[in-house]
Amino acid sequence: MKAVLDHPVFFLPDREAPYVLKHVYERIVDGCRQDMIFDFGDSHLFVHVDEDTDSFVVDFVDSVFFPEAACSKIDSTAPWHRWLGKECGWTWTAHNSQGYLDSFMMSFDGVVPNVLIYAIASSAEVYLITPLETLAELAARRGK
Amino acid sequence: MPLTKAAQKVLGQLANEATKTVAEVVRERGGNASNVRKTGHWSNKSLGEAAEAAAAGDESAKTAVKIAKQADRLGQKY
Repeated sequence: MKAVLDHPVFFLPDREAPYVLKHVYERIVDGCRQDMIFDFGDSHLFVHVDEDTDSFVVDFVDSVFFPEAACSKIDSTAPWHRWLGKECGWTWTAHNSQGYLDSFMMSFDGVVPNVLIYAIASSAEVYLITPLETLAELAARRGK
Repeated sequence: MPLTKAAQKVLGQLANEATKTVAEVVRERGGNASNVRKTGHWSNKSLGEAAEAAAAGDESAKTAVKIAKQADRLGQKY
């Protein structure tokens, strides 16, 4: 068994121009967040949950995104609002021990991961990544 | 009782197996005892019940459904 992938998954092709996050959309189907779209203006990342395997199918599309009626813009909702206008720094992909690509991370305005997106029960769930030190600081402030 | 649309969505193609227990589905799909154990108290309940609970937001039910879907380990790629 090798420790690294032979063919690592790069969500965003390498280029000179930054991938600046313009909008974020989601499509909810029967209560499940089936799709997420990260709109970079001139291109977008289409994230789809395969309901049969709870894994992700991710497509980079090198063209403008035109949302369908079923897509909701979630720009103003947490946590996305804080990253609009920021550059998507790096992305990380993770295959679980069963071999499925079921999670990935993204960073905005830096290369420290900010958000983890995980596929479960046919839905993409969004987790915020927060350093332990920050959590401890917040807890201390609340305790005062 | 037929599955709700939300539970069907949660299960995907496994909706056809909804009347079987979670443990049965995990085993039939190639999962081992460790996989069954990770489904917790859902192992002896039907997959349909787990799906309904998952659709209602139950985190342990979501996990059980996911383990059932991914019981068949993909080939060694790495």
